[in-house]
Amino acid sequence: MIRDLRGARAPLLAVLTLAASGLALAQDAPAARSTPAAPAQTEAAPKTAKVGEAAPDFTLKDTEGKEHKLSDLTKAGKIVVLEWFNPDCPVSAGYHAKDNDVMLGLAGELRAKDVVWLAINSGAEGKQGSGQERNAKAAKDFALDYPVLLDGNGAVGRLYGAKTTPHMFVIGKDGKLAYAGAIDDGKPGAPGKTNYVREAVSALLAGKEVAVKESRAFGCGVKYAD
Amino acid sequence: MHRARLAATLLLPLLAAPLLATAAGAQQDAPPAVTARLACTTVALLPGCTNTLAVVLEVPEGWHVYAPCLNDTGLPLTLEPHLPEGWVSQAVSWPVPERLTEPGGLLDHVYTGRVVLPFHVRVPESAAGTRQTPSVHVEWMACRTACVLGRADVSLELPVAALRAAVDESPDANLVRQVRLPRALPEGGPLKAVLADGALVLSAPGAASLQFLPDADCAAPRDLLAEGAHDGGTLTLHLQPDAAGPVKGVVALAWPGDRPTDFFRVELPLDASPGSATRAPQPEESRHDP
Repeated sequence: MIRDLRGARAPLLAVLTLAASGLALAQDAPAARSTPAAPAQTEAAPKTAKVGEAAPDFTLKDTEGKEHKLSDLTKAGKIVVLEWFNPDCPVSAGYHAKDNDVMLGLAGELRAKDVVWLAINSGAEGKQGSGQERNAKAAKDFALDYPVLLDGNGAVGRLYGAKTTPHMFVIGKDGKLAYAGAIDDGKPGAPGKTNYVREAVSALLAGKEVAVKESRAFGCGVKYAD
Repeated sequence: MHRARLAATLLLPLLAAPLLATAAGAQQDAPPAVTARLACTTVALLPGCTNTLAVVLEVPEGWHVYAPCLNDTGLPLTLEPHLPEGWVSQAVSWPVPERLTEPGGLLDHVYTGRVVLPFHVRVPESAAGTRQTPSVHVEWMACRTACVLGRADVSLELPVAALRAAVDESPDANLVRQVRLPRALPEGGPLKAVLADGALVLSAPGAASLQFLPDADCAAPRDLLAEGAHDGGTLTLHLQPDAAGPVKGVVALAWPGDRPTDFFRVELPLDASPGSATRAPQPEESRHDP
């Protein structure tokens, strides 16, 4: 017979959970096998993110407990970059090593252009690199100068189809998802020639079409609960 | 008949060096001791012939490394041969991987346990009677619930036999023989593969189940997780509307009872008419005998 390896939990449940998760997602919602936050009654069920369409809204807390709501940022005219993050994933952490300026350098460069950069950790409680405490330590260890948000039940990660750490998403001022994929065309320890995120943001700032809208991200799998 | 003498030192394994260890907080998954070595199917190399080398990885139980397939996560294994001047290397014969589904609807194609990655090298006649040390740089990502990156430079010092000599098989020849490689899709064989209405349609009457394991550069499927494996004798894998490139990969065809699973390589250009499955060329067979 064909061997089909399988993780400990059925993936279908994740899809079903997503459909019921709603737009307002509490940062400190319980992680694995928990009931997600109830959807806001006035808002439609969330759709999975798709390039060219409205980016799913979310509200998540950072390590200081401050809430970050995507739609507030885009309504304020901000371009938003999302970096799926796991401080204990060697690929994600590798992009934050002292000799690697790909993430931090670009975040600083774009912040000077009024772009908001947010890291999101969708690791479930008890899994590699998960939790608010770990985020806070990582922010300090990696000298991150942008917020690290906790998505402990993975609902926002699923909304965006975030698969790896890192996995990058760029959202335009119009609230539409403009880019999804890898940070660049390189690999850990070897920055690529083309930084897709920089290219996407530059195009948005210039009012031009984003040339590369999607690419294949690589890294550790996001450590979802189920 | 002359037989080349056994090399005093056949193997020169190097232990894998973790490239980046997991940071604190992942104590439940200590970095795995993936080991790598270079093997040869013969005790000496044959000049003027194609010889078979293989990188052998030992992946600890519970861990996996990533095949060069259409994966949701993970860095695929990479091999970079460093061969003596005048040698010609062929592509790695990638074994059939396994599907791995993980929480969050993530799908990868992985290798577990002992991973044998054969590749053929042509050794020039001018090397006859010398000793040579081919090497390979290997990189991998190994994951369980945590992930670590690793790399190794593996080499193997081997004698090169005299011209037209015969050489014995090495103990590793059996390892390479046991590698699960896909076969070319035979005309009139048990599997039919066609593209129809924007989908890859596989049919194998009487099969217990089918899996399609796509290459990394395969035209993008719409939902590989849901449609890439199916019980029974048919499988329909819809492609994304903007899919580009050929549909290429390995079909794993399981039969009821004790009949062994078949593995076929399928490659279909997107503009292929129904029934026009093409057969990919198979790597040249290694010559173990003169």
